[in-house]
Amino acid sequence: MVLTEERPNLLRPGHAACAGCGLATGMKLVLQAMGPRTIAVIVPSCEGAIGGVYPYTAYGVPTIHSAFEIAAPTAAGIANGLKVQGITDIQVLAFAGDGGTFDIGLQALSGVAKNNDDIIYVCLDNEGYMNTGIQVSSSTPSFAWTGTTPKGNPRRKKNIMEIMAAHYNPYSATATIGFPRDLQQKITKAKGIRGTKFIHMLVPCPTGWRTPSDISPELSVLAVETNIFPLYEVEDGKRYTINHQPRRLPVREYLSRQGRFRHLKEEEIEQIQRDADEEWKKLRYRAGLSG
Amino acid sequence: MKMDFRHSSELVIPISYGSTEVIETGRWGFQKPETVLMTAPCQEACPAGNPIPQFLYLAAEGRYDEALRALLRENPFPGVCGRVCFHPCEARCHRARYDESVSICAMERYVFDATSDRSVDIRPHRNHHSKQVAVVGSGPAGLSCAYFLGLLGHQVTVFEARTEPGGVMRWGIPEYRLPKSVLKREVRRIVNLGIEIKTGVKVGGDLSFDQLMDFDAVFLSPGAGSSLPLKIDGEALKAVWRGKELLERINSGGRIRLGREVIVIGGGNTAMDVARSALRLGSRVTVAYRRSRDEMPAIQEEIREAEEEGVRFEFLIQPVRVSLLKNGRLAVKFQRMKLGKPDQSKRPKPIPVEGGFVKLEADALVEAVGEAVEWSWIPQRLMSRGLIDVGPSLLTAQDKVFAGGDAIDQPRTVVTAIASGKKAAISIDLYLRGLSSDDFLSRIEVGNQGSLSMEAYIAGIEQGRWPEVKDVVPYERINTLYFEPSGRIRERKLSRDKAVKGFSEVNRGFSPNQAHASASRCFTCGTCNYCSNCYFFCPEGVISLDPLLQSRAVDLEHCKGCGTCARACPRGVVEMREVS
Repeated sequence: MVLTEERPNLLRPGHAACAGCGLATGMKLVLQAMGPRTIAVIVPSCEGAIGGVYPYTAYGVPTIHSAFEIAAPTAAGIANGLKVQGITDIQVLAFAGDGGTFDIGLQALSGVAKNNDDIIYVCLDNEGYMNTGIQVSSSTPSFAWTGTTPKGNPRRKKNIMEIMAAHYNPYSATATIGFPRDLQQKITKAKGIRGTKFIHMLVPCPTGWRTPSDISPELSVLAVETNIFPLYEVEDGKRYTINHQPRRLPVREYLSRQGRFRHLKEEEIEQIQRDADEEWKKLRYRAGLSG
Repeated sequence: MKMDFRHSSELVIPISYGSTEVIETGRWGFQKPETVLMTAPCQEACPAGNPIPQFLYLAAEGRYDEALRALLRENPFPGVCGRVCFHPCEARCHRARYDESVSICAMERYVFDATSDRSVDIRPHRNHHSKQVAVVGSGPAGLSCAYFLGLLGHQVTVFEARTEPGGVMRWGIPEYRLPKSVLKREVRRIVNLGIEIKTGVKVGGDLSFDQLMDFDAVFLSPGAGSSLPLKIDGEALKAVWRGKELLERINSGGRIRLGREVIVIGGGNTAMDVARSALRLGSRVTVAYRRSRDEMPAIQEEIREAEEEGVRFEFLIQPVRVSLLKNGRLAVKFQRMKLGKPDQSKRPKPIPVEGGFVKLEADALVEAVGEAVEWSWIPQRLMSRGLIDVGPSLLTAQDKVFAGGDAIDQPRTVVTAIASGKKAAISIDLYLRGLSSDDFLSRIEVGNQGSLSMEAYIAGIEQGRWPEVKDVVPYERINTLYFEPSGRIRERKLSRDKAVKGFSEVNRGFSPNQAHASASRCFTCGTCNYCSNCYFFCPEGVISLDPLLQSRAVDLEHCKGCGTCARACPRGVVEMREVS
């Protein structure tokens, strides 16, 4: 058997992502784990911009560029079309950003999850509307700077994993580029499950997060190790498994490296630390671990 | 052209068939990644220049045969060094600054042990300048000089006065630290290279020094085999031993009864070896040292193990007289000492405390206060202050005669002896080719502390491919974020009760699982171990790695120069260079 990481690269070089783009790394890792028997759906976002200018494409699998809020139903339509034709060995993959998932596509995604249509939905979460010039989304973390929250985001990041778990879909998981083997394992696992699979993937964005172009993987690791973004999976909306035991570094290590958090006051950092600790406690409780 | 859709029910969908690979995004960037292999600090600290990151990488992959071969390129005694080395490498390990240093020494031993059932095929290089070289003394310096000269294709004859080769490894270090079977295997490998070892031949007796001049070159490594006397009253008593002589008796398999209580004088490795051997012979042992514990020159682990086994220590006392009591026991009178200002050895000088005397009784006394070179057979003009005088290339005052090991002015450890043997082999080879060593030794240095690489020398002298001199990796270049904190793994040891019952090896080494975990802890500073970080994290997907072919490639046409690979490399091997 060929290791996932030794399979061909299905996001071709020459794509138009910014230097150091975490999202491009993420899509590359996902597509590699998916393999060539895949149909992908992308939406107007960085995915479209990265994908290339007509008549070129960076995607190594057949890809449909759908509308912003309908990544999930487009994919579900294709999946059902394949099912009707009796084709069982092709997986349908939907890529959407946090805007297209947390905000505008939420209702459409909810409908697909309710029907349990057979797709893998990957939310590429870069915590804002980065493609249109860095505006706040409901995924932007507390106190983060964006173009529309110049004094920092007053609201907390929406917990999309809990929303998905409330649909009792067979499989939801968090993943991030800093843990590529974990990420590809989760994609491989999702491929073996029928129904709506949801992957919430944190992808650092050097442009929107105001960071140098070389630290995206590092931020991704720090997000996990500081408990800002724990790695876990939820099966059937109720079985929680924590995949990585974090080093529990202080959140400051993660925040201090990003320009979007540069203006943070001491009490705001403490608030973020408290939130992370509280969420971790809740997650451990759900995973059946005490304390 | 005007298109009319009014009568068409078809939806027009534009489809991209071309690949973005035609777009040369590589032009966007102004810097490109480059592999910069560097020297790890451990490697610089190792006098023998062991390729530590390489062998640990191979060991972590379970490729123990290759790991052994990597070690044997720079050091003929991995099994010995892995047991008795004072491992200066571990003190410089970058991992020590992160959590705890890697057990390098124990891993060297494990690599040797794990491959013990297989013989490693090492062949000498073909050499058109092949010459005859004599080596005097078969200790670590002599045998490593012979081994490396053999690798370089010379014909070597080793003269050994004793009945078996090995020098200090055979007659000095006790069995519980270095089993004779290990030494035997190492020597066999050297002999298999075509080296002739003539035992029982004493230069100055069976063979005169002048007869050595029939060879094209000579390496002198007689070692420092005779214990220095204390020069005190009562030294000639039968129950007063010299450390080296006692160890030699024990290592010859002789049964010795020292008596119930033994006092050992000295604080070096010989003193520790004597003390622990005496314990095993059934005695109660007290070590008397004239300075304090901090100044003891013995390896720290040796001292600790001696303490654990039950050796008692008396510090700041120096014997002044030994006398025989009526009951046959010895009475030893000691002068109390205190520490003064540092002397030439940079340790505080012990000064007598006026009127302070202590008396101890014992059945035997062993003096282990230092060793000297037995040089009656060496021409006086080669000597200086009891040691053989050598230049930077280890050449003595006489043409074509080189010297190394404990007989020259250098620290008296196995690994420094090996290092001098290697250096002498290179100097001799250059001499035999008619080249000056000044031009070449600096080109094969490992780091800046004088260690040399035989692999680099062979590549340079045989194929003209002199490798670039590599810098030592600074700690700041290591990206520790990618390493999970983990503790140092310790070797298994015999329990105290079992250990002191006999001379079986105290240190039992690693289990296979321990070895794997221990090797995996290495940062492999400055050496690519194909961890795949750069490959995974490259947003462009333009990096390809092949651990089997040892190849690393970047598609520069599409590399935007973001620097992610350089930053994500945990071992500091990738560097971004500006393109003009």
